[in-house]
Amino acid sequence: MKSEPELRAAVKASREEGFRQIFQQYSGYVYAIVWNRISGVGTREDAEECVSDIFSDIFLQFDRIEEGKLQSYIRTVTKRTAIDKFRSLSASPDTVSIEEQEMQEVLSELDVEQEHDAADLRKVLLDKINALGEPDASIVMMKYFYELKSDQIAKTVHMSPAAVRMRLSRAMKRLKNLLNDEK
Amino acid sequence: MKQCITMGLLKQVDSVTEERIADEFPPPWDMEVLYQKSFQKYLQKAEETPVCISRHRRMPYQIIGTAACLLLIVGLGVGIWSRQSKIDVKPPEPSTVPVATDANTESRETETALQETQAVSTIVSISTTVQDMSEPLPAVLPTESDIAESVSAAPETVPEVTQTEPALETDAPVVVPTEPVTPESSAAPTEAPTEEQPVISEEQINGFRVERYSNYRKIVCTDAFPTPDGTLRSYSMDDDSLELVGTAEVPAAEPVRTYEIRDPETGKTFTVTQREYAEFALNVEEGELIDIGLGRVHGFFLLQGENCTLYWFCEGEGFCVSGDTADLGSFMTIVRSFTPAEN
Repeated sequence: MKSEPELRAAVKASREEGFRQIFQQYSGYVYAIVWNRISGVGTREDAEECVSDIFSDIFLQFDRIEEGKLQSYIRTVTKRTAIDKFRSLSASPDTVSIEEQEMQEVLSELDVEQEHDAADLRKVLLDKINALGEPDASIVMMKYFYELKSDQIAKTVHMSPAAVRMRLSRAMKRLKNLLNDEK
Repeated sequence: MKQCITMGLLKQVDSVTEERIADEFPPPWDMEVLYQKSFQKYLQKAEETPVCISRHRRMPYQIIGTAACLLLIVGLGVGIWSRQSKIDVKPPEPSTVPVATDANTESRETETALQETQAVSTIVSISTTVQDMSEPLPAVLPTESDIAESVSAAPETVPEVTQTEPALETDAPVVVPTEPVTPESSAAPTEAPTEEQPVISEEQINGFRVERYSNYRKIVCTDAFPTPDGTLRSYSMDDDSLELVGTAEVPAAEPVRTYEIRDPETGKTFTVTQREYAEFALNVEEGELIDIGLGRVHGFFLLQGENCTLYWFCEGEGFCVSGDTADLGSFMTIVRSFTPAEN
């Protein structure tokens, strides 16, 4: 992980190489935020389009970003652009995404207390997913957060799709046991 | 369903969890192609953006431009004034248009009111499950703040149907029964009302055209279907929470296949029916709720009382699954996990 002065020096030496380093450092963060916002209404291609828009804006405005503010600028632009993308993708007011409905069914009618409970549950869930270790934790997140199919996951982790499915099935059983132990 | 509920917590998480996932579980796949795309966009934008505007040369052009605008405005004003002063004022002619009768006026008002009501929403969302999302940045659900409320059409009492099929012919213009079809997988299509009814309104949503008639609606898939070739692709389930326990070829004039899918936790079984289509349309009674916002899925969802039917389409083939509204979550899992079987 490079510091901001290092990134700025890299951009000064070569814009393309410097921007590549910025991209490599922050693309994961940006993609995760964008995907979380638009996964209910958009595709992976929409998410990649949004990510490329965000970074092209960052590169364009780079010289105007104050020293020490690069990370917070990236965070702000990411969230703002992701929300705009979500609004443009769900532009029709007459339809409701079924995924939103599922989410509502899962979380039922939310109030502040229930939101707090859901946030606590997520914290526990992520702790247990972390406890699975690699590559199981990554496989579980790619499946259930990033919503990749087995063959797409297989390419990333260099396994066969069948091996990914087997691994996922075992990881889910372990996760279930870990969650039961937590109770 | 503990497992499903637990993993469902990872969908559209709150901002604190979002930050944690972004830091601890960023996507691990290669994004070099995405970087190239971003860099090219940056170069394009950089070319389009003017670097600077010379302030030294701005003033004379500004003055000339302002003067030209003023001259134009003055010239227009003078021209209009001079024309007005030359126009002869003619006495008003007695109107020859027949005065509208009460009946005509009433029917026009009724039609206007009907069109206005329909213009608000031709598609009725599933009203029981839509909440008013008014927070600008809700912590958990980043949904649009002004989702329109559904039109209040109370669902009419319709016969309960456990499994409905869109009855249609692949070659002839599509006709579909307005009454629910009895649950036979090879039921012959019954014809819709033969008299031509005028379309009151149409709306295009996500690859479907919804035509509104006087007492029913018609959903038409506007995809260009490939010519049916009499074969169906095989599919499998790419999800461990549901099992594909069997497939069957249904004897019928056109190829029809069913997939039996079981939820091992509840023991429930769902039947997905696969057909080939040249075109697709479905008549829906007023009062039955439709939702054509299935996110990435090219399909729609039909609610008839406590029963629901999900239709979706992929490359000229259509699928449908029916059951209780409570099984909606399983239906969406099926839709997302249904993938062409590996050879």
